[in-house]
Amino acid sequence: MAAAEPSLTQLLREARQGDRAASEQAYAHIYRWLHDAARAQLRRGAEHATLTPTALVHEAWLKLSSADFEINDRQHYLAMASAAMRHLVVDAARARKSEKRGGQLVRVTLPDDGVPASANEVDVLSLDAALGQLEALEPRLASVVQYRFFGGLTEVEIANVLGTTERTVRRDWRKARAFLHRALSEAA
Amino acid sequence: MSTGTDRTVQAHARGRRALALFDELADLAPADRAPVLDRLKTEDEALFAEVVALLSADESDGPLERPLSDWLTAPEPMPERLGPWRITGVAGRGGMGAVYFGERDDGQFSQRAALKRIRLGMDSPGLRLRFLRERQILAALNHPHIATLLDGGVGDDGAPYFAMERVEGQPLGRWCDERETTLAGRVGLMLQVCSAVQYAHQNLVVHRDLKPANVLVDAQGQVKLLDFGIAKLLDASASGGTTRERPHTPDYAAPEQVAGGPITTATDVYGLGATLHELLVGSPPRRAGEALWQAAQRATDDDARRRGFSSKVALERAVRGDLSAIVQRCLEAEPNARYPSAGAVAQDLEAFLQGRAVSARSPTRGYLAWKFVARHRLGVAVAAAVVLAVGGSAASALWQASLARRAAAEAQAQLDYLGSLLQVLSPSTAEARELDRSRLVTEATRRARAELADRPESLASVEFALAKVAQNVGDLPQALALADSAYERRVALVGRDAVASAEVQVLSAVLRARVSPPRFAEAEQLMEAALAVLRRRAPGSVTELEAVVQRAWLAGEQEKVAVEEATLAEALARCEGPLADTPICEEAWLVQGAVASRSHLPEVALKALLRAADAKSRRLGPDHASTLNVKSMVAWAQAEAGDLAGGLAVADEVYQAYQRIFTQPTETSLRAGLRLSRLAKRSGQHERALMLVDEYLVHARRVFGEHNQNTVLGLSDRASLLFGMGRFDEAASEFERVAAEYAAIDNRLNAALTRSYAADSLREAGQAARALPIGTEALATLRQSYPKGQHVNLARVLTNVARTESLVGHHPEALAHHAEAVAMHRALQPTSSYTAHARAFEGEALFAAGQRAEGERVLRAAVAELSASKTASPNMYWEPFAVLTTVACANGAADCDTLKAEAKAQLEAKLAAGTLSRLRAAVR
Repeated sequence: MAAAEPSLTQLLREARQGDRAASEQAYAHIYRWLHDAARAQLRRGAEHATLTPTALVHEAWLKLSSADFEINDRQHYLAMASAAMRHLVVDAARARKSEKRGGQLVRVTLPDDGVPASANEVDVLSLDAALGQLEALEPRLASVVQYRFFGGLTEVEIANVLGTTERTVRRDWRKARAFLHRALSEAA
Repeated sequence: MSTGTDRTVQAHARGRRALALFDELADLAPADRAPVLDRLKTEDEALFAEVVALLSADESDGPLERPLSDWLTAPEPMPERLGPWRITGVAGRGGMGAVYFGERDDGQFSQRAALKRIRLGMDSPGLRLRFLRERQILAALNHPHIATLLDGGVGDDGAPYFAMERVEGQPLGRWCDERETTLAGRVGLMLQVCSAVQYAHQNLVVHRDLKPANVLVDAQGQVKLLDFGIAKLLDASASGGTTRERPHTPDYAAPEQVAGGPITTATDVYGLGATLHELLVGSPPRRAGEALWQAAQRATDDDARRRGFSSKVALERAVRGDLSAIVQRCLEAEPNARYPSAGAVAQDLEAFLQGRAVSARSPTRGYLAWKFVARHRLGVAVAAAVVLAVGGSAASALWQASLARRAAAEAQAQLDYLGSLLQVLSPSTAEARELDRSRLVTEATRRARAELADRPESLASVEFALAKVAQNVGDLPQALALADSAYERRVALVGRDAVASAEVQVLSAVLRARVSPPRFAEAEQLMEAALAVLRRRAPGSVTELEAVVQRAWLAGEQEKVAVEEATLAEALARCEGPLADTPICEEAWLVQGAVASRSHLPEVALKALLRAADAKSRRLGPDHASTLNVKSMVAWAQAEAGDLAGGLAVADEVYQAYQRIFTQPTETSLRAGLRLSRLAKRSGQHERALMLVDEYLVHARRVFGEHNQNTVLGLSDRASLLFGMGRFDEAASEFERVAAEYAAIDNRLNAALTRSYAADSLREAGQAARALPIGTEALATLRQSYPKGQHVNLARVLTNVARTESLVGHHPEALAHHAEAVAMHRALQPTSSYTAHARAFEGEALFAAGQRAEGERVLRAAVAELSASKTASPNMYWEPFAVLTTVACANGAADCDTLKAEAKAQLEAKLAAGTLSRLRAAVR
């Protein structure tokens, strides 16, 4: 890594002061790191990969931040990392879906795919779409899902990032969850 | 536009209100929610519906409960190649691996395939061997409704892959639904599936994972079954150490599969039933005991319409009766209660299509009479009058006749199934000695004995057939028990003095000679008795000829040379007659070839093997594994007969054919490679020979394992090659290694022989003093190992030890050993060139011991005798020639310069390094 490259902490600070370029750079940084780490983890685990977003996101922070961070930097980071995790999962699903296209004429099955192999990808994409609907309706509920489900943040962390109480986070989660489950069961 | 936006705004407003109401109601007990909801229902029905939906979504588990890892299965990077296949795209991914598209291009053909890679390690050589053998069997399946397995192997990462014929088609269920195929059309497709499954069962391959998704249908309505036998390969590797739970397809799995019981052809009959179930009513079988028509009640009207019915009630009615009975019989929990074969399922499906009685239904009088009426609507009006006239008796006769016909049809089906087991194991698959296959034979036997108990004639034929199958799969004890049982049955039926009994007796005799330990005395007695019957009852028949050939083989096994030769002569004479084209004559010629090459009659051997190869090529095709195997023997015989270049060319051709046809080595292809290596060595192409033997070793280590005798054979060849190339130090240590391998498996004879070669290598490396004790010790062991005290190997070792002794100056011992060697060669084969060769070195020893003139005289005589085999075995001539030149010149012979000139001319020839260094020494 080039020595001149600014640290994530520095980028986040500049982003908070309104520097869009710094914000994008920080996001790209986080995304790339999470992407590589998730891949490595899945490759290692091969079959029983346990991709825990919490561990990934926190590990990334430890690796990327410098010691001089402020509490605001960290909260900013957690929000960005959650968004990055969501995009990462969705991008992977899209990639696989397009890879599959063209292969539709010929279906060759594996012994265990009584469940269509594509079920997971469809789910991720429809979850993303439903989350988009929720965003239009109640943006804060959508954020809670992004932080908790994709970012793996705890209720306390979410409450800190959003500047609300834990109780509110819990109630938001319950509403968001009902909304999404319903939207997804309708889609299916 | 604006109304659209308004509607969106409205919907959003309602969505937000619904969420707010949900938030209020969620923590309330259901009873407390009711008044709010009731009021809401009358005020705003749409909002009410949304809130209720949210409340019920709140109570159920949903996708957000699944951990994120479940959402992300790591896409394996697409490999560039798998074995010989270039990967061109991804067809799909599943939990156990991925399916790719691939192409293979070897300049002449290009082939496309679907490649399946499975994420399982195959770590032990045993597993891999089993995998490769099984793959060979699967690849031999050749049926229009089975997607052919083209290739398969184990990738660098230990994950197995399969290359299958690429099928352009749709899964069975979807194909039918899109075309709104009628029930009859669906049953017709199942008939194709049954024929494929029946064919595979006759080849002792069980699918194990039959389900609609494994059946593709192409645009022409032709069915292709995928993944035949692959589930078993996975099981094989799983049981070999992987403890991971195997995902299966519970909807279609037979009870014995779920319970971990033995898998038989009945397992596939269950799979056929489950597939048929889904095809007919749109869902796989759910509960044990639920009939097909009951399951049809769960279908939708849409499902019914896609099958050509107006409603699901009509569908339910249509599948009541025959179809329900057929499916039910397939799905019986007890394997023995199911149809005995896929062919029997097909028969009932055909009967259904033609409106005939199906065997699955209990033959109640009413059912059969109804069937009869349905089939002969016109004639029945007339017949009814007759029935009325003669009362119940005609109806009763009709029922009896039908029952008898049904029983006969079933017995025939039974025989077709079991009887066809006889032909199924073709020569190329006979190497597969599979535990599972012998269990399948056991199972078939058990069934046959139960179901044919009252038909001893059929049972005897089936047992006879199964005995041959058991022999082919290498289960000799079971084969013998079956043959004996079949024999006893036939004797009880027709007596001993009958062809039917004698033909079984021949097999019994052969098996007695093949079991371990062999029971030769009994075998011979049975063989003679059987042959006597056949000579009297069936002179000139194929059965008699088979017995004659087997008798020759039996005599050969016991080294009864005279009987063997006489019997073989009779068989060969018979093969000049009208029976020349029967496969048994191929066997006769092979035996003739083996006998002739043992007797050092290479021309005779060559002629016999050529005939066998020619016949096999005509019968099985030039590229059949069995043809290639015989051709490879031809190559060797041709070289033995003096045509080294011709033999090398044929061996090369065979080797290339194997490379072209089999992408993975088999036992026979490896043997062919080793033969080619030896011929290359004899032709002086040492580098090529070394390359071939190294290649052999790579595969042999993988296929057979490190300490297997086939691998050791390659190591031993490699050591000989190094010796021939003059790399004596390396040769010595390689021979020592081989000797250690032989000692480890307690093969004292080969261990001693190999140690003597190590001693020769040391001598040639200039370490005669070190070589001597090793050679002497080996010689002592060999003397004990050859009970008659005479053997060509013993004679050779004597010569070699004597040469070492001569070098270190132990002249009396050297001369004694040389004399003994020459006498032994002469006694064993008076005319062979070995005697002259041994004599030449005796001459050298005489010269070294001071008998200079006598030494030269002996050498001259020996070299003159050896000149006949100059081209066939150049080293055997030129090494003694070099010694003669040295000795003659040292003695001041007149022809010294002529000899030197001749020796000099050979310095560029392709000869063994030892020979060349002697020639160089001679011309100096």
